[in-house]
Amino acid sequence: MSAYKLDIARVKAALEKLMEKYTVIAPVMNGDRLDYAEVTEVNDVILDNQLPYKSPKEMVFPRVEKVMRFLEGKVEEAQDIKPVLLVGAKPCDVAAMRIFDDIFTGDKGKFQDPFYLNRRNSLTIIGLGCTDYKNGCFCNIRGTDLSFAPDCDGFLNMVGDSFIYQPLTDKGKDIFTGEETEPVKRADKHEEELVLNAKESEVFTTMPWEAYAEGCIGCGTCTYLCPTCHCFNLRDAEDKGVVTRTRVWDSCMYPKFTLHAGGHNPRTKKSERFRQRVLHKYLYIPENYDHTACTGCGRCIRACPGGLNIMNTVTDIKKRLEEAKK
Amino acid sequence: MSMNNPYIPSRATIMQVIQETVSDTQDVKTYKLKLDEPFDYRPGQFVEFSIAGIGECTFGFASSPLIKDYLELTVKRTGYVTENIHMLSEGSTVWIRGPFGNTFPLEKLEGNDLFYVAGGLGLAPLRPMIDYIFDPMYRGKYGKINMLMAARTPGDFIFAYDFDKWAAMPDTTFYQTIDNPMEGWDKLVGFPHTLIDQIPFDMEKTVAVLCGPPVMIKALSNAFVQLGMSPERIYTTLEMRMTCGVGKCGKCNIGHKYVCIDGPVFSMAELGNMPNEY
Repeated sequence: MSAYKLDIARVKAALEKLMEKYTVIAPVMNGDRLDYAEVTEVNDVILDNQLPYKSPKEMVFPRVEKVMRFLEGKVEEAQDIKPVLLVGAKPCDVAAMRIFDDIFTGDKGKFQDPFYLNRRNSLTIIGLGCTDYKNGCFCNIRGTDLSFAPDCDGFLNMVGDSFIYQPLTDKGKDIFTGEETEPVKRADKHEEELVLNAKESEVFTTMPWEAYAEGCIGCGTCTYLCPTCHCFNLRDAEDKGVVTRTRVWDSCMYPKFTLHAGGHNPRTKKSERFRQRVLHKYLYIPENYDHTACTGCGRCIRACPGGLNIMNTVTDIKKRLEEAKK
Repeated sequence: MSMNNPYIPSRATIMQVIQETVSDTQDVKTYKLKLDEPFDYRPGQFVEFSIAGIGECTFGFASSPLIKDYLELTVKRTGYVTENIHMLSEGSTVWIRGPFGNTFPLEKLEGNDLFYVAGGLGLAPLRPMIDYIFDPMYRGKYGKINMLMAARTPGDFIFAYDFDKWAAMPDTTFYQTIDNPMEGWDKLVGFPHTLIDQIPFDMEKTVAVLCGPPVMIKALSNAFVQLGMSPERIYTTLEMRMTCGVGKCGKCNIGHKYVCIDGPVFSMAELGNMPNEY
């Protein structure tokens, strides 16, 4: 498919029209913070180099999702949802969608997650290239291209005062049009990727996990902001005699996450929980799905009150593994 | 469970509540359930069991899959949901989704002797396999059977009403042990891992199947290995806190394996390759 050149006025005019058909989600200011949120006024949309504070995972995996209601001894399953258009998803956030697709719909799980599938099928994603790295970004060593991400329906790049739109799927074909032009050139090669090629036993007990996790206060902010964290709990709540079961986000950084009813807990220490978070992304998911579940967005690094840094931790592990081989 | 949605439970009715333990705490009961939409399952698998408005818990099947009219789950009162389950009586509505997880490799184990060791509530997930193999249709496919049942005190044994029946089964030797000596107790005393070397069994032909608290599983499997048993011939079923049962919620992993879909049944050889985090 060819690419189109269009200015911001034309992007916004198109969005105005698309709002009739879709719930449009895009970066907008929420107080003094940029968030992916529903667009009510098209002029609020901010398409630039900034990274929204939170990832857009809520579009496919809401913080609270209705699973069902118990009605007179029967269950009522959740309803269909309106199509959603996510515009302005950064390359790191687009890359995270592939991890979500693997986990919620991949073969490994054997079961397809119907709530995820429902939202994912209703979602059209238009990516937006960055023009530069922000403090804490490390997508360059996590295999994400600054100006392109393949796992979306179309991609916007800022070139001078204009945007170049490249449709990638049928869903993305008619989102934006303009004057036909050449697609933006993609980077040929990435820098060396930050990956761990190791056995679980090599890193599980041999690395200084206590030291890595020293500043952790167990707040779980990293997991809430992470575009690939997907752990959840099921909760029942009763209102006026009707029980609703919902799915809510959970976090491996909390001690109760793995606490057995009988009192045993496989992860009592914060260093064990931090190890789970790092290795889940860098060893366990790669083992099951062939790619690392960290896109280098840097959100966990920027927001951590204890100054923990997953990039530094993994870099250190890698260095220690290489030294051990010598 | 709805066909395309593993999160949606189907309705079940409690037919009978059986008080298992008779010690001071009386904290284990078995629930006999009739399902609106019955399903097939295999020994080793588990379900998510819930009370609407209270929440879900994970339980291994506690009755033989050859029984088609009902299924049993054995529940220890230990947390919020189980406290509420213990308050239910016959006729109550509960919710079930499943079956989930892998199974004991019954076909692969044919021709072997079996050595079951269960500690306390750990007998519940073994009972489907025990009763399945004791069925005259399958008993001939397996060799000699040893059973070592452990509990804290004589009143803490579950399925005690099955013990005479099991002990009388052909080519079966049945042992019971409690943690500490007690007046009137003339059977074994001590933790299972200290007792297995006193029980005669054919090391080359036997497959051990263990379940109990994590600390017991670890000590016991070490003891079997010390005696010369290969870790490939030792099986256990693990419990882990879990929510979904279908490999999504991220709670029950041990390294890259998920207890809910790769387990709950593992050989000690498999567990030996996994991080020691269970």
